[in-house]
Formats: sequence, C-alpha cells, structure tokens
Amino acid sequence: MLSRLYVDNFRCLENFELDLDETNVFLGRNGTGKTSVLNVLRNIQSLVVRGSKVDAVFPARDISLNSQRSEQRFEIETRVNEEVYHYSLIVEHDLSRGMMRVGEETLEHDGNPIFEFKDGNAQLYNDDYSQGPSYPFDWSQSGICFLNEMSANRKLTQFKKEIANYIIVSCCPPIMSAETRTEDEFLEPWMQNFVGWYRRAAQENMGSISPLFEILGEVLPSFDSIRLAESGENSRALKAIFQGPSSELIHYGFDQLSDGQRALIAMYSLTYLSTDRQVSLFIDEPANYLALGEVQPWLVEAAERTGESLGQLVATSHHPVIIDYMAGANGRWFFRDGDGPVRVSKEPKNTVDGLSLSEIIARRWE
Amino acid sequence: MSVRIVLLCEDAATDTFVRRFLRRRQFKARDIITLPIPHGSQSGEQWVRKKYPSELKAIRSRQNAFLIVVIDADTHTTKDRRSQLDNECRTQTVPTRKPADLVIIIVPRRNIETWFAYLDGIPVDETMDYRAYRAKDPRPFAEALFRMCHEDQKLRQPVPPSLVQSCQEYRKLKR
Repeated sequence: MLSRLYVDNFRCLENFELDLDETNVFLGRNGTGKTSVLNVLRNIQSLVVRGSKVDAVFPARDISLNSQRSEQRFEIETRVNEEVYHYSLIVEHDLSRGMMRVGEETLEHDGNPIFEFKDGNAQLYNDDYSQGPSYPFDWSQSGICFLNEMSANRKLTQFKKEIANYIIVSCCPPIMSAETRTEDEFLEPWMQNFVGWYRRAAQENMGSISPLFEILGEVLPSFDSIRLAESGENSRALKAIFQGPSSELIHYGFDQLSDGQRALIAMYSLTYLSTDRQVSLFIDEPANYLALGEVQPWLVEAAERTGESLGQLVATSHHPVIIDYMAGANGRWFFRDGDGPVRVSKEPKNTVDGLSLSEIIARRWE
Repeated sequence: MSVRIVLLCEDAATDTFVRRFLRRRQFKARDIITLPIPHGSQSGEQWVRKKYPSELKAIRSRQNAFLIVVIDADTHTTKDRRSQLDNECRTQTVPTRKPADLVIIIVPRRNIETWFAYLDGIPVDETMDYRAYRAKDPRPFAEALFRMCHEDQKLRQPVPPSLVQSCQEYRKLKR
C-alpha cells in the first residue's frame, strides 16, 4: 500500500507531499494536480518495474513551469505487511543539451539502505543490510529494475512486486480493443488493452471468475458469462454472452457492446480479478460511462474489498455520488492558489451545515 | 432490481458497519443506497434529523423498500432522539412515523463506537465516549454482531440497552 508520496518539480507539483490511507478519494478543481499524481506513479512504475528509460518517462517538458531548477525529486513510501519501503529518485536535466539522467536512486527497508545509486555507481545491500556488490551502472535507467531476484535480495524484489501491483488507469471504453494477441500484466493508462489484461488476470484468478459473472449478472440484465474466443493465431476476442428471449445464448463481440456495458465489465473485472496480488488500484474518474445508479454500487464493491482482497483504493473524482459517499472520511482535497504549487488537505477549507459536500463543491464554497 | 434499502446515517464508519452486517444477511451492495454522508466538521446528528422527514415521505411511495436511519444518541437518551426526529417531521409538516411504515430507526448510545467497544468484548457504559474506536475498522464488529444475532442467537450479557432497542427495530427488516 502506498502510504506517502513526495514530488518536487513535476508539472504543478512542487515540494508536494501526500499521505494516503487504504481508501482515498482525490478532490479538487481542474488543474490542481490530481491526475499528475497518478502520472508520477505510473512513470515510477514504468522506470522501476517495466524497464523504461528515464528520458521516456520524465521528459524536460514536465519540469514545473515556474521552476528555475533542473532537478526533479520523487519519493514514495510503501508498506508491505507492516514493513516500510522508502524509494527516492532524483532526475537531473541538462536543459541546454536536452538530456537527462538518473542522478540518484535509493531504496530503504525499515530505515536501512538496500540499494543506492549515486555518481554512476550502484551499491547493493543484502537482506540482512550487509554491504553487497558495488558496480558502475547506466545513468539512463533504474538500477533496481535490472536486478534479478536472488536469495540475498528478496526485500528488493518484494518492493518491485509491490510497485508492479499498482494498477493506475482511467476507464475509456471507446478505445478498448476487442481482441488481443497477448496476455498483459499491465494495463495501459486508458485500459486500451483491457482484453489482453483480462486474458491474463482471468487465468491468475480462476476462483474469482464465478463471482465476477455473478455480479455482472446483477448489473447487466440477461448477462451470462464472458468467453475468450479464438480469433486467429494466438489471438483471442472477448465475447460477452447474454441470454436471449428464449433462453438461447447470444455471443456479442466486446466492440458490439455499449460504452457503458464495456465500462461495467472492465470496472468490475478490476475489482474482482485483482484479488490475488493485493493490488493498489488508482482509478481516475471511475464514474465515467456508468449510469447514475451504478456508481455507488461499484464504489461500495471496491471499498468493501479494500483492506481485504484489494490492497488499496485511490479514486480521483468530480462525481457527486462519489464525493458524497467517500469524501467525508476519505477525502484528499487538492488546492492551488492561482498558478502556485499544489497543496493537499484531509479537510475542505469550508463546510456548510445542511449542504452535502458535492453541493458545497458545486458552489465553489469548499 | 431497484434499491431496497435507503440508509441515512451520520458517518462513514456507521455506513460500513451497517452495510457489512446487511451483506452477511445476503443483501447485496446494489440493494442498498447510502444517502450523502456529511463531513466530520458538519453536525452528523443535525444532518440526519433534517433529512429524515423527506426520506420518510419518499419511502412511503415505495411498496418494498426500507428506510434505515442510524443516529447517535450522544448525550441524550434514545427516547429523546426519537422524539427529536418526530418533532422535525412536525416542523417540516410530514406525518410522523407509523407502525406500518417500512422505517427502522437505530439509535446507538452513546454512539456507534460504544457498540464497537461492546462487540470488541469490552463491558460498556452508554454514558462514556469510546473515542479510541473511531479509528478502527468497523467491519469486524459487524461480523461479531452478526455471529451473536444469527449464529449464537443471543447477545453477550450485559447488552447495551440501546442495542436491545435497536434489535427490536431491526426485526422489521425482511429479506
């Protein structure tokens, strides 16, 4: 579970600090940095787990516009079974030459170093915190990413697994593919590869398929099941199967469903098929595409699982149903004075007795 | 299937507690709608009291839906709190609750945390404020209550009187 994030010099996030609980909802006006937080997490995941180069994920255009500094700093604190990992990354930009590099990358476990990269040199520590090998390393990527699991560095591997378990998405059915040739571990930012992710997740969570179909049967009238049908060499097409008027089964291609139906299948799949890995789910505007009466049920399903089969839930939302259900206890209020840096509070600046939080926000009285 | 339970309560902890209990009674997430929950800086009691008459009026338009109201007694008696709800109906010119109304009014005393403490195995005094339970996950307490009610068929003695009263109210709820 991500418990703390610090970001300096990334878009509108300057000297920015955020503490998180198991369940959280990000609130704030447009341009207050909510989505930027998700972008930072996705970039760190790309760098540390997926092997992306630093210039691909932290380009110079993301340096804060008001900043004169060429150094960006990112820190995350994540908790795994009461153990605390603290990850720190400094990205150095040479603006005149349009180049950037990893200036520093460190990982601590319960306050003890287990990896350090400084001045082009990587220092590895064993799980008992004793000094391990030291070696020169490439400035353009994460030194942690390219370390394979060994008996002496299980803690470092555990941290990478935790970061790999961040699902950071916004559900956008119109651009979801209906077929896949791959089994995808990671979802793309708009869930374009949902079918590829489903293909893998369904195999990893066989026990969750039946409950998923059951809930989809409640949400989608006449829904029966989902099938991945062969559609060419190594290719599978997602078919949603519904009962027809005479109880016959009708197979619909995923792209034959409405955007809302696809959203419901994708959103419930996220909550039901992420159970075996204690996933942290970061979802931008989960109410998009859902009918009004479906917003709270999905949110409740996700929130009820959080801390049990789902590790953490972080939703970003402007939707009144989500605000009025979650913001009272789980709100993270993003504020920004003019073009200044973003700050976060657990409380709105103002409340008004008799008005719901969404009504207060709609009047811009928060 | 439309919503079958409308839940009006003061805070998220109460919502989580009630929902988990109802889930164990085989109600589904989509059977229940929770009305807007106020922020902690707003008066939860006042929030529930002011919304109650219009929700009472609305539930009367439905044949098979229940309104569950959960409001802490705080420093009042449970009888006082119920009277205050009736008085608010009179103020808003809505007829007060009748026995035939599908409305369940739950009044924990001193507040829901008192019940959490009881369900955690602690002997409780309904005039005390068990603040330490505000930060705790309510779900295990709902599980404990369900076990007592539906598996053991009896509550651990001595039972907080407000819980006994609420159990009588709760019997109205049909699955």
